[in-house]
Amino acid sequence: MELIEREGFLNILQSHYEKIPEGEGHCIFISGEAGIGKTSLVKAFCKKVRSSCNIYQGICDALFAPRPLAPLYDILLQIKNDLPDTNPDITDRTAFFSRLFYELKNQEKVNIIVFEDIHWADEATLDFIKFLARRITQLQTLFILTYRDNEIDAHHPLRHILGHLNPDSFTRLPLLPLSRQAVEKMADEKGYKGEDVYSISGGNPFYVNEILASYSLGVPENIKDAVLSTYNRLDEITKHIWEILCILPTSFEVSYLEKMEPAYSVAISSCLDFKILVIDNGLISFKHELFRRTIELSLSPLVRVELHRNILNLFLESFEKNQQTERIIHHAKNANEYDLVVRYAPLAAKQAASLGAHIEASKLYLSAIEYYQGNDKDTLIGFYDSYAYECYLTNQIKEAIIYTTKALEIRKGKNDIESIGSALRFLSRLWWFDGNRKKAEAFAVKAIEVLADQQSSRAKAMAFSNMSQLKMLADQSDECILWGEKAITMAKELNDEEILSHALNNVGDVYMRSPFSKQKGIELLQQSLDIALKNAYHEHAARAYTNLGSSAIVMKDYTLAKEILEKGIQYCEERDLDSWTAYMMAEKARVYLKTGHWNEAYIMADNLHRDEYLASIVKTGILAVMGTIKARSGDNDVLPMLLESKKIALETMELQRIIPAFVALLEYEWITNRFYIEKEDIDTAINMVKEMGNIYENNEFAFWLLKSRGDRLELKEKFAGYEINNVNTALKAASLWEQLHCPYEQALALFEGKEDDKKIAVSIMQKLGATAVYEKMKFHMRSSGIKSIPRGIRKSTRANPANLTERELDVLQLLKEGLQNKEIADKLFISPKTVDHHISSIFFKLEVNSRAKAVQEATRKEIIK
Amino acid sequence: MEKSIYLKKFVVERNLPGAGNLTPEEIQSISQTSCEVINQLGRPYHWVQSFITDDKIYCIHIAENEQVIREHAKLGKFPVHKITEVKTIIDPLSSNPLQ
Repeated sequence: MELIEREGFLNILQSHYEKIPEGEGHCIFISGEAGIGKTSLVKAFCKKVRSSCNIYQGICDALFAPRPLAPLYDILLQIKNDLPDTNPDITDRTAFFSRLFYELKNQEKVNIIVFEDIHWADEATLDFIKFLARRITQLQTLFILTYRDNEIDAHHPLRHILGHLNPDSFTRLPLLPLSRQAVEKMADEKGYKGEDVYSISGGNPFYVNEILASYSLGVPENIKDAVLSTYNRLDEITKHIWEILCILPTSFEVSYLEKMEPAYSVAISSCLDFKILVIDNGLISFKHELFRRTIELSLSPLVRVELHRNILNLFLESFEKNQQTERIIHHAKNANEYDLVVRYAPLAAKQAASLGAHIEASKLYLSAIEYYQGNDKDTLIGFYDSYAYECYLTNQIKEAIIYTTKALEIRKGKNDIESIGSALRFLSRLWWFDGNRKKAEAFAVKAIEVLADQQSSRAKAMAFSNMSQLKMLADQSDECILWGEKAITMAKELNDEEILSHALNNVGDVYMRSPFSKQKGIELLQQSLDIALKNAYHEHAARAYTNLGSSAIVMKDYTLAKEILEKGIQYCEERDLDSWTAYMMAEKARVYLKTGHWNEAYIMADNLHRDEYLASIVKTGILAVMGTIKARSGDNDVLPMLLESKKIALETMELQRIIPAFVALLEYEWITNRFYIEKEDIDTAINMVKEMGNIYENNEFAFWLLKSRGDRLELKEKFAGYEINNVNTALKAASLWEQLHCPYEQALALFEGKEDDKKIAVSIMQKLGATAVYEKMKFHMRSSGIKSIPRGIRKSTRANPANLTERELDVLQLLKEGLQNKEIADKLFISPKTVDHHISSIFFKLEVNSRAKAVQEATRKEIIK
Repeated sequence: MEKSIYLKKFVVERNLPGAGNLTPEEIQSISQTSCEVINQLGRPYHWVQSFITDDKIYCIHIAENEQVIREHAKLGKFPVHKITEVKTIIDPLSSNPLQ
């Protein structure tokens, strides 16, 4: 069949394919409704280039819970003809991905990998897609993926992946329906009325072909009629075969079909000629999904149940040999075979979980729960626990709470103290994730109480460590150490490295945040990190990096913070631990803010902010960073940002989130001479600072409270950097800030000095781009009679009111000439990524959001000619 | 002295993809099966009515408890997805003030 109106799409594929031997691989996401011709396009393209490359194809099935990583096994089999163990454990998954990556890297020819129908892909396969797409530029590979965009909702994980890829590494190719002219031309050739065919089909190529295939005389009322009239004219055997094939969400092995209908080959020969059915690699299926669906929808439910049961029996007979667990479950569900679902779903769930397909695992455990008709306590507990844990891993927190509670109720009846304690501790963690600190604390206490009279055990050690973690998160240092030490002692006694790593993490963090025990804290956190790295406890390692980095920021040790965060971000990026990566990126943005690199800080925060899935604990911090930079630069629409940051911070009830949000708002109050925080909120923060927290952050809060509102908050421990009420202490503070590489705070302190110090202060503000603060200081100096205030602006930037750097001006000029990022990179001998950064920075300085607007704005301001 | 039995009303949800395509003959045979099973149960049991939708059947049954309803489904090979007890029944007459 020739392709109509697909020339342009084919050319796009071709041009990306031709660029590959020059170096960089690329991903292409082809989308559109069923029947739009995604498969035909890919087939036509592959046929064209077949002789010059390797083509590997993986398929995702629409099973209730698809077989994890099925498309990967497909392509690995095509590359090597040898399969890895079908049971790699989760720590091996990364190895499995890497192995495939190197297989592709070592091919001599260019590779084309095709993954079809990824809207059905299991979670582990989606992880692989992310893994490969992020590294595609290192391979001579064209990665083609097809999906139905009308079958993925706003929260489908696929959208998340697309949002996280580097825009230069992939192309979206949404296919369009055929035009009216094309359909009319095709209809004319067959003697049909083009207008009718177009209005019925809407230009969907599959529908157009079905109507024109002359299955019925004249144009049918609708597509369904066209398909069903064909079906109704068939002989009984062929009808039966169609019925079998239409209830299968996957293609069917010809060998199985032969068992069910020995005379199949004669019966279907004409269907094969007409291309209604296709056989490929020993698998038979309808050529088109829409054909399959039409027949399926017309079948009586009893016929369907009967068919599912027959197919189910085939798979059961050969289970020992083929282990088709996912297919058994799918058909057992549809054949109302409850006991079989309950028997096989947990098996499949375990397997899925071990491959990292936790969403599928949770669905399977839920099926086991729903289909279980009995009331055996241990069976129920097993299902509830497993389901709750998979929900916890996949961010279905509410569901995890419900089922952990159900299991807990049964346990109470059995009086198994240790597992009751464990469940209570787990509920504490779940409630914390759900943002409910009160409940988290209450369950943490209950867990410890229940286990009080028990011998040492993992459950007990973990209950202590969990309490320690909660106290650490709430800045209640003494209590964190108390519970943490108990956990450490018990973990050592039990020789349990995982709990030891967890507990050291909490305690180390608290020690590190006090000037008297900083070194000890670093050592403990380092120990926690070493244990985690050695045992591949990915989450514990991520947490150790995060805590080391965050605490270094609190201690104002920005050099250490940057170094740790860069290591941590790399570790988490390599392992796709996205939530930890985001957390550390936000911390890194804060380092940039504090050390006067506001551009970098803003760009980093802004990039994170675009992610709609961003955790609220990360969001509050980056809003404060962005708001602070905007406020100092004299931006007007800062308030909503800062208020949102405060609102989220208060919900977490954690001082480490509350202080940055409040400090940002108090500073904005000082800059604008107006109040925005309600008294009630200020009191909440003040009371917390009196109770807990660390010297640095508490003093910073007190400093701004005094500066903005004149309210004095007496703290037991003072930090010299904020003691700037007379000339002497102010100059000491200024040199302290200079040593810490904090220019903004240094300038604030200098401004409290003599006239010359004030002049230095305003030039620093000027250099930083803190226009609003600069104006404030200038006004203050004028009114106290100081003349000759430094303008601080170099001649070259006066003609350049947006403060663009030389490099940014170069990039802007090339943007004006209409060059693409890669071309700009080549021209300026920098990497495309750096060009990206420059462009983001230009957007920020010119306050625009597109290349065209940047050029327009720069021309208007006469920055470029 | 025998204890009196209290009956409750239940909505039984049966998932049956394609239920809307049931032919009159199939519906007749399902109904016959249901009645035969009720006779075998040996417990008080009333099948009131069933509503067939595209992919699901909603049945109104009166019985002592959930277990008996599951037993009925098991003997008749009917799917059961969810069983919920009816607490109150209202209709337009409910809007009249109580006499």
